[in-house]
Amino acid sequence: MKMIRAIIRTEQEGKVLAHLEASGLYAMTKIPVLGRGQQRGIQVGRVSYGTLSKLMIILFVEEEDYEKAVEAIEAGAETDHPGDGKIFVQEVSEAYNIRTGMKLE
Amino acid sequence: MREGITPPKFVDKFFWADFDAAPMPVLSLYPPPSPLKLEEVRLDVCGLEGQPRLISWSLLNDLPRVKLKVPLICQIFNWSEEVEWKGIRLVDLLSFLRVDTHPEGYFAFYSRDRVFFEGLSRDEVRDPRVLLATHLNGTPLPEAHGGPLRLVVPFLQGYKSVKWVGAIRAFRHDPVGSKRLLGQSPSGQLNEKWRKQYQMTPPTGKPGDPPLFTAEVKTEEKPITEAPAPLQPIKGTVNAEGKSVRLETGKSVLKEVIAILRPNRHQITRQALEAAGITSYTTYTVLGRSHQRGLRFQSDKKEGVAIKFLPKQFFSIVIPEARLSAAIAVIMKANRTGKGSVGDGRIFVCDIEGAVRISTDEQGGEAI
Repeated sequence: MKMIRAIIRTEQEGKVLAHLEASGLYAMTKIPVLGRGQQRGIQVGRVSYGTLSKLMIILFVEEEDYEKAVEAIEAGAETDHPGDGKIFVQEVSEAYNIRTGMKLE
Repeated sequence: MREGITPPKFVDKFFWADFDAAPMPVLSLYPPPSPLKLEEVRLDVCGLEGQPRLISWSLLNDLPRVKLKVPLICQIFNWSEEVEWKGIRLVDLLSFLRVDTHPEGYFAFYSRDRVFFEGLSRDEVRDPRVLLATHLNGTPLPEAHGGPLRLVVPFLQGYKSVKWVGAIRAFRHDPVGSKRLLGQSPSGQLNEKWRKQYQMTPPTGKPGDPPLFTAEVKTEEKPITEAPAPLQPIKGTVNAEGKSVRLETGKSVLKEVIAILRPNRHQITRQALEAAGITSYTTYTVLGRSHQRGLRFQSDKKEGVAIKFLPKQFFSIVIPEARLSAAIAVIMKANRTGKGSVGDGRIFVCDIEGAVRISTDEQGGEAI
């Protein structure tokens, strides 16, 4: 199992969700965050924004769904401009369902 | 009766005085507490901040143990017996729990009989010869000698080694133990004769000095076994003088437990984690859903989901691997509503490659 953390533009949320749902991935957690990348925020005229509002989406997916999920997020989040976001993937060693107490394989 | 023992007149004040018991005499001023099963053992530890924590036997079992061959000296009755203790070094336990007292403060140790207690200064507590013993001469500590958990303070009079330890409390000033209240030795120091016989010297440091011998705490890379648990192999030993104290340092493996829970279980989960000795975590409110795609109302099934994302409480807990199964069990127990309805949450476990405490630059398991 893998944990995917994607940091995307807030305005692309609907599109990313639509792509993920089309791939059959419904389970996710989302958190509004503030972040910045290599550009150190954004400068609009004389006003500079050190951090920008972003949306972090966390998905826990099976091995076989992992590439599908990354592709769906990429397709949904893409605007071809700096600031589209990042996707981080991490290995999950164990997972449990609290209601049933079962370990998920 | 053993040779040399001189019972004073007040021996009949003792509830239990058996001078022929093996491997050493049994002396108890008060009736011993009722026996406990190992899984019922709870050690109540509280620092000066006033937040008591209940430490379970399985957690104590995870801590490294040392063997110590020292005499137990009963100056009042004029006997001593050299025995081999095995247990958790008290300074290791307190630093593991991050419990401390004022630099010139004291700790009190309470017997489970709810009557007897004794105090030790911070320097005495931090001496590496002081153990919370679980074994005596290679066998689990018998009930008569304070089992399952007793204090061992070899460099003070025997009465300071509190039997059936149930609670440890930090104090700013001397709590004045039971024995002193009965008008006996104020500090429990041994007289010259005993000190000379065993070369036992109390810690000489001034209040607030670091301990005489620094002991490294090793986190065992072993899963928690249910009590009564088989003993873990001993990695370090100390001789009677407390010299050559060095435990093998093991690579401590850290795990991140991610739990996504119902928001109304936040406080219950916090309390349950604290009772299990897990005090540090990060939590925040998130929006989430599972395969049900959110919440739908029963009346309008055709309409699809009504609420796409539900508020959830997100916990991120980084702990040593040895405590992983305990943490998962605690979270499960606190969050299972038991009504069979979906939405109780999920627990995920990830590896943590490294950790640093920013204030002190401690690395890995030390940083947690």
